[in-house]
Formats: sequence, structure tokens, C-alpha cells
Amino acid sequence: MFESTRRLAVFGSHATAPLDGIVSWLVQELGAVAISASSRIVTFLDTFDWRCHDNDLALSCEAVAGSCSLALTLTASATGTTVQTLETPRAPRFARELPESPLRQQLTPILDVRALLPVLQVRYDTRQMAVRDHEAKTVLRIVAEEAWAAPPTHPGEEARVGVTLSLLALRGYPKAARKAAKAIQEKLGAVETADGFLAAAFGAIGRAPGGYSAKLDVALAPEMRADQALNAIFSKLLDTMEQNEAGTIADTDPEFLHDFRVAVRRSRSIFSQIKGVLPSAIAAKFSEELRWLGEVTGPTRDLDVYLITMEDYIQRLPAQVRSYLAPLIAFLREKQQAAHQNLATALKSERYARFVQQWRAYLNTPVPQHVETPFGATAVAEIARNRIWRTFRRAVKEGIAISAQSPACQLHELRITCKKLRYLLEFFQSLFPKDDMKALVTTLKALQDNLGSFQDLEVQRAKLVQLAEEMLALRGTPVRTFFAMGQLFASFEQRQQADREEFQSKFEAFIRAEQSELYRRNFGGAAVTAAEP
Amino acid sequence: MKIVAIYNVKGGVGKTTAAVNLAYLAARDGLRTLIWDLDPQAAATFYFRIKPKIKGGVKRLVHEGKEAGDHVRATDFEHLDMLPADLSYRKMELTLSSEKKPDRLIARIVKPLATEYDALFIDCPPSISLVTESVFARADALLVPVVPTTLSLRTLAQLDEVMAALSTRKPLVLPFFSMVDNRKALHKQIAGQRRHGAHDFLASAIPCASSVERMGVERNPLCVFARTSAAAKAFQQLWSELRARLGC
Repeated sequence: MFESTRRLAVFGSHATAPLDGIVSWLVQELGAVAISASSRIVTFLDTFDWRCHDNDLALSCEAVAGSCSLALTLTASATGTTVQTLETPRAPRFARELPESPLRQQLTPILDVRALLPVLQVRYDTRQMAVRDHEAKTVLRIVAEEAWAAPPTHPGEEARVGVTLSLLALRGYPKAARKAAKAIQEKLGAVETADGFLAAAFGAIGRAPGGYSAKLDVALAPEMRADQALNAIFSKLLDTMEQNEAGTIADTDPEFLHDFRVAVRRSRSIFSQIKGVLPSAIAAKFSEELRWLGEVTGPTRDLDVYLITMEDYIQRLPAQVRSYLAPLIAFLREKQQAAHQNLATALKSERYARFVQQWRAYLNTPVPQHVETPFGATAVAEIARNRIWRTFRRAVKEGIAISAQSPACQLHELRITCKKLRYLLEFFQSLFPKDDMKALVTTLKALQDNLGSFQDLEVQRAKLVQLAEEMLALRGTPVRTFFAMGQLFASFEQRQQADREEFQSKFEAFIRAEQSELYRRNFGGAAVTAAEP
Repeated sequence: MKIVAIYNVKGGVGKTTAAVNLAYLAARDGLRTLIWDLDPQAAATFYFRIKPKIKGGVKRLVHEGKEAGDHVRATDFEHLDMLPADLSYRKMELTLSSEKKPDRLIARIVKPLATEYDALFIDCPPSISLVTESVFARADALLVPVVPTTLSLRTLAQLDEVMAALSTRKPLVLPFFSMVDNRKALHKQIAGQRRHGAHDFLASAIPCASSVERMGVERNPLCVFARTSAAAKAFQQLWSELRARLGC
């Protein structure tokens, strides 16, 4: 049996030596014999936002005799250990499509609702070799593998990555492996590899894994002019919209639209919360376009959320009841597809193209020397402090007024205020101490999650009744589906009740002394009372 | 780890052939398999082209039982490793006689290997000694190749006597016919019967074949160079039967 494997990569000075050259070298210098040759194609999969890569994992998929052999590999470990393998009929698009397995268990929380996309294709030309002693006993196995990388969209555009030599030391014959490794390192200039391969393969096709994030991380300086600062934030938000455009139109997974919409909402939020910085004509024009984008993308997102919630809910039901709800899911899917059709039409429209082009052109134009708006030249930090402090106080006021009997709309109001506050904290995070901002966002997020869940359930309950009416009008839905929907309605109510009970503790955490002190210290007592909505 | 000892007090009955081929077939089935060539003649070791040597000889193996794994060598086949023979095995008897609990020797040596392997095949020397008794005390099954002759059947009766005298736990005794020559009337007559004395023979019988003799030239298990030969097929059948009896 194999005792250990050492991987030596020839990416260096002999990198240009072809596989055949290296094989002949192994034959001549080490007395190795070639046993067999083979070739295989492996496709690496990852999400648009590189979730596998960010978790130091590589998911590869190899088509073998009509099925697909999946392997999940730890890229950060020294040996590139394969942690999970699975045979599936075809490459999965979502974690939920995988059969129940440890691989699915490990991937599900990482991928969540994101789709797996091919990110890299590698063709391996492999030569199995053996080194034998004078009795013709094999004392070392060598696998020489030449890798050719290509973008999955253009599999013909192959670029050579290099040759990897795997030395499979046989138990009881450590000397042969040591000797060979030494010669290969010294004479072939090979280096021991750990996680180098994927990086080299991506490098060969001019790509770098990672590099997408919808997180707002715009670096601002306190003294920066407000109009300049806002332009920088707007630019980053427009980048995000453009990056998610294609995936949104193709409906690859719901996260594209989600990220797109968040960027739209954040942009709108700047216009509505910070006035008097950009010229009012500009604000009026572009906020109207952004409002339109919010509107045309809304119905699809609502249905996406509904489907995600349903899938989550259905997972916990017995199979029988699950089948009762199938007509509802099918109905939702149909509606989602119709809504998405409208959305795609909007994003492919002249109006959208014009908006992106004009908005980008405006943001790329340097801010004027002479500022004509009331607060365009004000230091961004002043505006940030003022807005955050006021929004915080408003959230406190609204929250305190909420009792167990308060109507849902009052919680909704607070939710909107909290969302504004969250956006402000995120826009301007680079201006304030990192730890403080992190602490504030964490508590605020917990409160927002509670309010968000409550409000979503409120909307979903109403929507469920509306869906039932539509399905009833269409006829043909079995009555047990309506019963199951009734159960679903009750479970929404139950969860909403739980959210309401949890609200008080989340809100108390939000206004407790240390938190308020953090807000006061960082943002309180701002002199400027301008830039009011 | 299941332990199968291939044993007969008589030499030249096909012990080593059986050990090598069965170990190969077990490994081919995916069992992590070890073959221990306990016979100082080192025939099994020769078949696998491995040097018949153990560092420090039997002394080190007996007195430093934890290191049995250090002497293990990979064969050319996946999942199959070997603990090679050493000339010093012939002195094992002497070393044993000075041991406190000689019947536990084999158990002690193989203990650290138990988690590494699913199956261990021991190619025993043709003798009745403290060493083989120690093997009997630990083995799950004793696979006994018997040439279908009257004399050979007698050795089975001798084995029964030895086993009866043992105070330790006893392995499953599984005799099978080996080197069966169907041209000989006596072979045909004896091998045609499964029940002999107190023993039920395994259904599989290994024929006397030139392909078996060629193993010494090819230095490979039969199923590697003569896959379709009658003998190779017989070993596959024997392995299936043995595996079922062992429940592994």
C-alpha cells in the first residue's frame, strides 16, 4: 500500500519541457518504466461569489462513463486532501440537487441558494510510471500529469499549466522515494506543491479566483468632500448592479437579483437620506430611474423569497404532506417565471441601457470646483455623523413606542428606519473605528433579522390567501393542497408570534447603555443639522 | 482483522500457492490485506519479488512486537502488503521456548497491525511446533491443503490430535483438496467425497496444473498471468467460499 504521496510540480525552469521530455528524463535518470497513459477532463465548479474558494475548498467534477464523479478537496491543506467524493448522474447546479451524502451536508451551508457554475476546465494528460529494483519489484510509483487549463466557456483555448509529478512511496521502500524526490528537485527544478495548482491553473487562463463581493467597502477620508464621497459609493453600487446583471437576466440563482436589488435600494437610500449634496436635477432624474428598477425587480424577488421560504419549510414536513404542497410550488414557480420574464425585458430595455450609461458618465465626471449645492463641499464625516445620529434616535423613539399590542405596520415602520440606519453605517464605516462599527452592525443586524422575519411572514400570510384565491379560481387544485396551505398559514402565524416575543429582547440589546454610548460617542453632538430629508 | 493460516504438517502440498493467490484475491476485492511468510524457505516472499529479510531478524520481531509494521513491505498490488520471510524464522522455536507465554507470541506480534488490515494470511512452515501452535491460538481459520492420497488424509488426523491437546481457543479448520490430478483414480475417488473422518472439505478443489508451476517463473499470482486457467478459477471459487465462511 502507499505510505505517503509527495507532489512535486514542474512549474519552474523546466516548465516549458513537455510531458514527453519529462517522461524520458524519468526513464533515463531514474530508470523508470512507463506503464500506461491516459487523459481526463476535470471541471471545477464554484459560485459566482466564490464560496468554495473562500472556504479553501475546490469542487471538481469529472465525467466518467455517463455519470459525474464529484470531489471536494481542501485546497489549503499541505497535501490537497480530498475530503468528500460522490457519484452523481450529472453535475449539480444547486446543493439541493445532490443526493443525501456527507458532501451535500458539507456544501449546503456554504452554497446556500447559490448556483454552481463552471469556473475552470483542466485537461490532464497522465502517465503512470514505476521504478523497479533488480528483481523487477516495483519500489516507487510515479504519476506524471500535464495540466492544460481553459475557460469553461472557451474549452478550446487551452493554456499549459505545467507538469505535476506525484511520487507514491510504497510501504517499506522509503529510500527509493527519497532518492527520486531529490533528483527531481535538484535536476528538474521541481518544487513541492500544496495549494499551488489551482492558482497556477487560474493564472494560466488569466483569471484569479475570488474578487467578487457585494459588500460595501468604500474607503473614505473624514475631510473628503461629501459630493465626492457619495460619487464613490454610488460608483461601487453601480459596479455591483452591472456585475449581477447577466445572472439576473439568466435567473442563474436568486442571489444575483438580490445583490442587484440591494445595490439599487442602497443607491435610492442615499438620495432619500442625504439631500443637498448632489444637484437636485441629478437626484430627481436618477432616483426616478432607480425607483423604476426597484419596481420592475420587486415581484420576482418577492416570489424568490417565497419559494426559498417554502423550500425551507417543506424540508421539515413528512413526505406525504410535502406532495400535497407540490401544486402550490408549481404555481409559484410559474408565477416566478412570468415575473422574471418582465424583469428580464426591463433589464434588456433601451431605458435601462441609457440609465446605466448616463449614470456611469455622471459618476465618472470629476466633481466641480465650485460647488452649487448647499452641502456638496461639506466634509463627509460631518454629514455621516449627523445622519446616523438622527436616524438612530428616530429608531429608538419608534421602538420604545412599540408594545405587544402594536399593529404590524408599526413594526414595519421601525424596520424601515433600521434599514436606513444600517445602510448609513455601511456607507460610512471607513470613517469610524472598525470595532465600534462592527459591534453596532452586529446588534442592529439581530434586530433587523427579527423585524424582517416578522414583516416577511406578514406579507407571506397575506400572499398565501391571495394565492389560494387565484388557485381556486383556476380550478383543478386538489382540496388537500388547500388544507396543507392552511397548515402553512398557521405555521407562518406561529413563527410570527415567536418573532414578536423575541422583539423586546432584540430591541433592548439595541438600546442598551453600551450601544447608545457607542452611538453618542461616534456620532452624537454633530454641529451641522443640515442634509435633512 | 480476520486471520487465515494456511497450514499442513506435510510439505509440498500447495500451501504457499494457496496463500499467495488467496491473499491476492482478497486484496483485489478491496480488503486491506497482509500476507506473512512465516516459512523460512521464503517461497511466498520470492513470488512477490521481495527480499527475504527482516531487519534484526526474529529477535527483533519477537521482542519488539510493536514494530511489526516497520518490516511490512508493499507488494506490486493494490491493497496487498507483505511481512517477508527471514532465515532467522527457523530459530523462532528456540526464542519461543524461553518466552513466558509462547502461545501468545503470534497474537502479540500481529496486534498493532489489526487496525491497518482487514485480512491477514499466514503461510505457515510445515511442522508441528510452538510457533504453529501459537498461530493456531490466534487464527480465525486454519486452511489446510490436502492432496487426495491416503497418507495426506492421515496428516489431517494428526492435526486433530494436536488441536485436541491445545488449551487455547481453536480456529475453524477448513480442509480443501489441493493438487488434484483427475487422471489418477485414487485422487478422483478421494476428492469425489466431501466428508472424510470428522471433516467436511470445502467444495472448491485446486487442480494439479502446469500453470501453478509457472508461478515460480512468472513470480506473480496466477490470476495475474493466467487469469482464465482452471487453477486460477479454482482459487477464485475457493476465495469466495472462504470469504463466506469467514463472514468478511
